[in-house]
Order: sequence, then C-alpha cells, then structure tokens
Amino acid sequence: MNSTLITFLQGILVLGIAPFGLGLVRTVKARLQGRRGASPFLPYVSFASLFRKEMVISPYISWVFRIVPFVVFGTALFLAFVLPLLSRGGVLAPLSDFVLVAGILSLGALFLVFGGIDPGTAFGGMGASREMTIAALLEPSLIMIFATFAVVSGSSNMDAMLRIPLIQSHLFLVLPLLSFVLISLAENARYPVDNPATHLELTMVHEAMVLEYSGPYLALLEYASAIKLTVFSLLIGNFVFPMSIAPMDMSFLSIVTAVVWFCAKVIVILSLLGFLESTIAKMRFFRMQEYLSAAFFIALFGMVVALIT
Amino acid sequence: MTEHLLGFFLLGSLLGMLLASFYSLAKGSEKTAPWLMAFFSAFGAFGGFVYFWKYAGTTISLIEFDSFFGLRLSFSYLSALFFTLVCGICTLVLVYSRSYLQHYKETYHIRSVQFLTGIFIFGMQGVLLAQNSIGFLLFWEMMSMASFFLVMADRSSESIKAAFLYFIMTHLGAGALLAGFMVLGNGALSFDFSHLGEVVGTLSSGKLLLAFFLFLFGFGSKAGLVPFHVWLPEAHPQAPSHISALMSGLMLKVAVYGFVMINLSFSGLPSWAAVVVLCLGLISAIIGVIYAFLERDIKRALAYSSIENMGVVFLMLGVALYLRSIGGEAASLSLIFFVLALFHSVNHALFKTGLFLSAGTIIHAVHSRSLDAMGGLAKLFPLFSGAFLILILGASALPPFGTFFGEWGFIQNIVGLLRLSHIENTSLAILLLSLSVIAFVGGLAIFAMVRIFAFSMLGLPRSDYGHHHTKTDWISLFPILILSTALVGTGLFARPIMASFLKHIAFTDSSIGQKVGNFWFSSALLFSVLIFFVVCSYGIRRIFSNKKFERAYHPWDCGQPINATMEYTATAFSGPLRFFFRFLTRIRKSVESKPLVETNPWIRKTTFSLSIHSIWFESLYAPVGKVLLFIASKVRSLQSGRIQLYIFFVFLTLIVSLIIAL
Repeated sequence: MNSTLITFLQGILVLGIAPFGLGLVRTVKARLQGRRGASPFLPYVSFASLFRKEMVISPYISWVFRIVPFVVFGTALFLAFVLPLLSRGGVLAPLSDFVLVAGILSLGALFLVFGGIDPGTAFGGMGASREMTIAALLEPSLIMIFATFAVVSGSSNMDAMLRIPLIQSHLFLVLPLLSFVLISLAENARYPVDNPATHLELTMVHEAMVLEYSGPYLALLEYASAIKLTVFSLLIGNFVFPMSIAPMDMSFLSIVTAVVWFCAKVIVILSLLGFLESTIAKMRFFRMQEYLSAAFFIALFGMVVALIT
Repeated sequence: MTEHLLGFFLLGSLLGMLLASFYSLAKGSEKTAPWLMAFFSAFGAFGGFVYFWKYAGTTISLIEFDSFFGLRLSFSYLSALFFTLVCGICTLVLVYSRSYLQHYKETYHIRSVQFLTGIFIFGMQGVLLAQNSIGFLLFWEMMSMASFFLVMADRSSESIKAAFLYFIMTHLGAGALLAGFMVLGNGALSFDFSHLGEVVGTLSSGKLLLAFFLFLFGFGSKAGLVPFHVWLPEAHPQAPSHISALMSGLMLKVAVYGFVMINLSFSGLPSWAAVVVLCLGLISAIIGVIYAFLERDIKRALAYSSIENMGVVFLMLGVALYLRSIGGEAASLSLIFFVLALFHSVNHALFKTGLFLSAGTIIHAVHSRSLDAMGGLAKLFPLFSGAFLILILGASALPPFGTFFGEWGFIQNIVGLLRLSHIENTSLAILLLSLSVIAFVGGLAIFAMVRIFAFSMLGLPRSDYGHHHTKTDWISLFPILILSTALVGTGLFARPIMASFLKHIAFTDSSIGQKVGNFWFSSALLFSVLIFFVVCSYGIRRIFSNKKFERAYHPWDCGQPINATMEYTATAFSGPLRFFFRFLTRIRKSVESKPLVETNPWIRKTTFSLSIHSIWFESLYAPVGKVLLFIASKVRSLQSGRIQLYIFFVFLTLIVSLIIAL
C-alpha cells in the first residue's frame, strides 16, 4: 500500500512539475540574455490551449502516424512512474533495470522517427535520420555508464543502485556521471546536440519530427519531452545526492521532505541547464560522432577504473 | 502417448515429407502439394510439443540400422528444440508458398521448386535427428544441394552466379565437417555421437584443436560468420522469398545446432580458441550491422542482419566457451551463456522468417527489391504492416518482445561476472569488449531495422507501382501474423523457456556445476505496465479534447505542392552513419558533370553514383581466386594433347601409389 502510494504520488508530481521545468529553463536563458522572458508557468497554458485546438493532419499518413503520440507519451509515463525519482521503494521498482530503461528510451525515439517519416515531407525525414543516428550511437554509452554503476553498487536495478551514496564513496564515479550528463543532453535534444528553439531545418532534430503534429497530438509529444527532461534532471540529482530519495513512510514530515527535495533538485539542475545552454553553442551535426565517442570513452574509462579498484 | 508411438509419429513426419515432395513432382499437384507438405511438417511440430510436454530431458531412439551405413536417428532435448522450431516454421512457410508461388508462375517452375523445398526440409529434419556422422553428413548434403538448386530457381544469370558461390562455400564447409568427424573418429568413416564425450577425453590436445577449428569453419561458414560469409548476401536475395526465409531463419540455426552439439562435449579447450570464436562473432556482428543499414536491396539488408545476429549468437557461444576454459567460479556461469545463445537463435528464427516472408509480400506489391522504390504500404495493408511492425520491433531487440530478454540476460550476466573479485585482467578486458560490442551493435541494429520498416511502409510511394491488390490475401498474411504472435509469446514466457533450457541442456562432463544467474522481473508485469501507460495516454487525450476535431490539409510545404520525389529515401536516411563509418566501408561516390553543348558551359548534365563494395570480396577472396586461376592455367599446359604424355602420367601415378601402399 505504501509503495503504490509512493509510485502514484511520484507520477503525479512529475506530470505536474514537467511543464514548469521546461518553462524554467527558458526563463533562465532569457534572463541571462538580458530579456525578461516569459513566465515559467507559460507551458501549462500552452499545453492546455494545444489540447483544445483543431488538428490539421496531412492526408498522406497511415495509422502509424496516429499511434506515435500515444506510444511516446506512454514511454514517458513509464519513465516517470518506474524510476526512483521521489523516493525509493515504489511498487514498480523491479522494472527500473537499466537495460530495460535504455530499451524503453529507444522505443520512444523509434516511434517518433516513424512519426517524422510518415507525412512524406523532407523536414521529417531529415530530423528522423539525425535523431535515429544519435539514438543508435548513444546506446553503448548508456549501457556502459549504468554497467559501471551496477558493478560498483552490486545491482543492475536503479532503485537498488541508489541505496548508498555512490559518488561520495567512490570518487571515480564522477566519470560515468559526466558521461551521463553528456548523454542526457543528447537524449533530450538540448545544446550542444540540438536546439529546441530553432525554426531552421538545418539545425532541427527533435523539432523536425514533430512538425506535422498539431493540437492534442502535439501537446502529448511536447509534454512527453518535458517529462523526459524532468526525469533526467531528477536522475542526475539522485545520483549526486542519493540521500534525497530515502524511502518514504506515510508520515507528513517525510512526505513534505521528499517533495521539497524533489522541487529543489528540479529547480537547481534545470537552472544549471539553462546556464549551460547560454554558454555553449550548438555543435555541427557531422561532429556528433566525436561528441558521442567522447561520452563513450569517458564512461569506459570510468568502468576500467571501477574494475581496477 | 508412449515413447514408441511418439517415435513413429516423428518418423512418419520425416517420411511423409519425403513422399510429399515426390508427390509434388506430379502434374497438377501445384495447388495441393504445399498443403500436404505443411500437414506432415505440422505432424512433426506436434510430435515435438508432445515431447516437451511429457518426455523433456529423455532421449528417444527412432531408428537403428546396422546396414545402410549404420543409420541412427534419435531425439534428444537439443534436437527436439530445433526440430520443433524447424517443423513449426516450415508449416507456416509452406502455407505462405501456396499463394506466393502462384504470383510468380512465369518465373519459377513451380513443381520443381516445391519438390526441392520438400527435400530441403527433409534434409534439415534429418540433420537434427542424425546420431552418427554418416547420417549427419548425408542429410547435410541433401539440405545444401536442395538449397543450391533453389537459389537459382529463377534461372537468371545473377542467381546462377550466386548459387555457384554458395555451392563452393557449402562444399568447403562440408569437407571441413567430414575432416573434423574423421579426426574425432581416428580415421573411421562413421562416428557415433554418443561416443563424443569419451573420444574427446582420449584425443591429444593438438588433434582436439584441429577438430575444433575444422568444425568452426564448417558450421561457421554455413551460419555466415565473417570472413566465411560472402555467399550469404549473394545467395539469400536471389532465392524466392519463402526459400530465403527458410535458409536465413532455419538453415543457419541448423548450423548453430551442430556447433552447440559438438561443443557441449568439448572440454579441455585452451582459452585462446574460445577467444577466436568470440572475435569472429564480434566482427560478424559489426560488419553485418554496418552493411545492413547501408544496403538498398531489402533482402540483402535482411541477409546482413542475419549475419549480425549469427555474430551475436557466436559471441555468446564464445563467451560461454571462454568461461568454461578458464575454470574457477566463472565457469559455473558458462551454461547460462549457451542457453542465452540458444534463446537468441530461437527468436532469430521466428523474426527473420517473418521478415523475409513480409519482404516477399512487399516485393510482390512494389515490383522491386529496392528500398528507394517503396513507401506508402501501411496505408494499403494496415494489418500486414502491424504484424511487420511487431517483427521489426522484435528484430531490434526492444522490450517487451522476446529478443530483448536474450540481450538483457547477456548484459546482466556479464555485469555479474565483472563484479567477481578474482578474475584476471585479460578476462575482464574480454568481457568488457563483449559488453561494448553488444551495446554498440544493438543500437545500430535498431537503426537498420527502423530504416527497413519506415521506408517500405511509410510516406508517399517512391515509385509508381500501381495498386491492383485491394483484397487481403489471407493465406500469405496468416503465417506472418502467427510469427509475430510467437515473438510476443517468447517475450511473455521468456523466463520459463530459459529455465527449461537450463534444466535439460548439460555438458557431457558435468564436472562443472550449473549456477543459475540472477533471473529477473516478470515480463508479464512489463507488458501490462506498458500497455496500461499507452492506454492511459489515449485516455488523457480523450478526456482533454474533442475527438472529431481535425481536418485534412496538405503538409507544411512552403506553398509549393509536395510530391514523392521530395521526400527522404532510405539511402538519404543512412547518410550520417555512412559518413561516420566511412573508414570501414568501401564507398565510392562519383559525380560527373558534362556540358550538354560544347559552347555553353552553364547547361550541364550531371550524373551521381554511389556504390558499396565488400572489402572481403575485393581484398580477400578475389586475390585468392586470382592465384588459384593462375596456378590452374599453368597446370593446364600439361594437357598438351599428346597421348604419349598421358600414358606416361598414368604409369607415374601407378608407380607412386604402389610405393605408398607397399
């Protein structure tokens, strides 16, 4: 009963805070650029209005185009409910195995690629080609990062991995964490891999694939990417401070503590993301293999150090 | 059902298949012969299921002849596994062939194709049941010869060239197998498999290694291990689609069966021999997946994907053999890797057969094998594209389908091994290498499979293929649906299937205890959770917005109408990866630009061509071929036409053989 409540609460909180997280990154970037920027609560209004808009659908599509938003949102919900974000010990915790999480991430990326190719436009094909290349090349890094954590902590289940303060006790685990940050930037379509605010086809990866979606479908896809951003930032926060997700019991104090930690992690890490995005430029796409190989070799180096010690 | 009855059942299936193939030679049998062969194949599959239900783990002896070269057939757990797989899938493929061949009445001589298919299936069934080397090689030859003729079934010149390449490679492999069995049997022509365990103990280590490498070459060349793989991408596309399905899905597994059966008894191998197997598997996986996403012909891409999957299987087998050879605590996990390799083979048989059958349907609809000419099929054939999607997701090793659990188990157990504290550094390096390669190949395999699905099914039709099929062809759709359901089934029942393998497959010297690796979460839970969340997202959409509120309008096109030439093609899709891997592939790009009229340099005719070449063919096989042809032309000068020289040669041979014999 306890664990079901934890999972349910975690999911509702992630769903609730995801648009705020997206808005926060944009506000921080705007302030750093000297503008006032929109309110961080604007995405709530945007998503609500998108749900009420009429959809304009290309006549060349097939049934695959229509199921894409549901599968992508479903995988985002899976990540929100299964991973240990608010507290450990959720009822779906056995499913938080890292290979499974990598597989679910690929499943989401794959269906988005189908959604880009189906309308038969060149924009969609270009975005799909780039997104699939990035998704294929970040697999080895993702597996190597979490394999390192699994070797050190003794379990491949993320819920169990975060039982002990890993990084404080084994300082070399900063390396896989750094690699994880690089991979998260690639996975969430952020600088230096992709520009989430662009309108030019040469700089689009994620945005190109959702170009033909509108109305509720677009709302689902944008919400899914906001959820993924929040989930990844919480994961990074949890690896740095695992004590923030100590198992929650049903007392009012522990619930409030967990929620406060939750909001603090989201705010701090996404503000740092906004700061990072304001300081670096987007890389040329054909240099992606250097970026992704760098991430892989950093993770490999971390694994080698873990095995030696 | 008693053991004897089961034995008669299985023998009946075998003989029935032989008789049915002869029946298919008769005039007018074209419509009924596939059903008859499918019936006998289903017989065999049913027998296999009864074996698993009641007699799992025992060995049932079917025939023991002392004359007729001492033919012995028996049914053990490993044989039963592959036999049920072969018979079950053959039933589906034969049902598919009933309608498929009717579409190609002018290209194929249907009766001989059906006959050869029956002999091919009979050969595969016999190989799985044979208990001594004579029977094994007899059925192996039958299988190879039938498939050789089937590859050139459409009698075009490329098919004949591909068939001869296949013929040469398969006979080199069969020769290696014969040599391997003779080494094991100490020169005896017939070698009984039940003596395998004792014989291996008595052989010297040099002979053991020789036999091991002969078997590796023999079974590896049939399974498509690099560098013996050159025949696979040539032969599989030229054969009719259902034969490609049988060859790629089942024949490669029969080779894996042979390798596993021999290696379950080979103890005492040095670890470097296992590392050779591992490295060959690794290289096959990488080369296979890279060419899979480069190829434009859908069947060649699927053939390279088979090479990649066989590479993964041999990588797992190599890790298993390596763990067994280093002994100690790691050796107890070696059986798990055998089981994982077998599970991956079973899944590969299911999805690869389904993919080739689907490719047959697609090629028939589009009248071309090139991915750049396809598109828009998901709109025309929704149910077929749904089944094809499930097969593609299974082929990419994505959850919740069966293949994912095999790779999941592999990564889990490697991580478990890395955690053991007293493993030496070379083993750590090898395990780390296998982990990196599996992850790398897994990501690229997803890319290759996505490309195949997206460009055959989605978007606008990239060539004008005309839509004259509106009626669903249930006979060709039904096998594909069954195979995709089976792939979902192996995902749902992954844990019981693998536990059953682990219980009944053992090394012949069971000095190694079998430790069960840490098994996993419930795949039923995963399945239900995923479905629940997808349904939830649909629910959210229904709750928050009005369902009917949409209109159709052409896509965002800057004001100019879009046509099919403007969309992305499969070649364009793999562009970035082609660029990233340009040092590994021999890609030749040429752009030629000539002015149309000499005096006007501004109006030009531009031709662009992009071609992929196989480094193996050009740097390894072609020079070897050239050297052999050179030697042959020099030797040909001996045939001068003068009879005195020939008589001299006969005399010389007689003297030399007398010297050797006496």
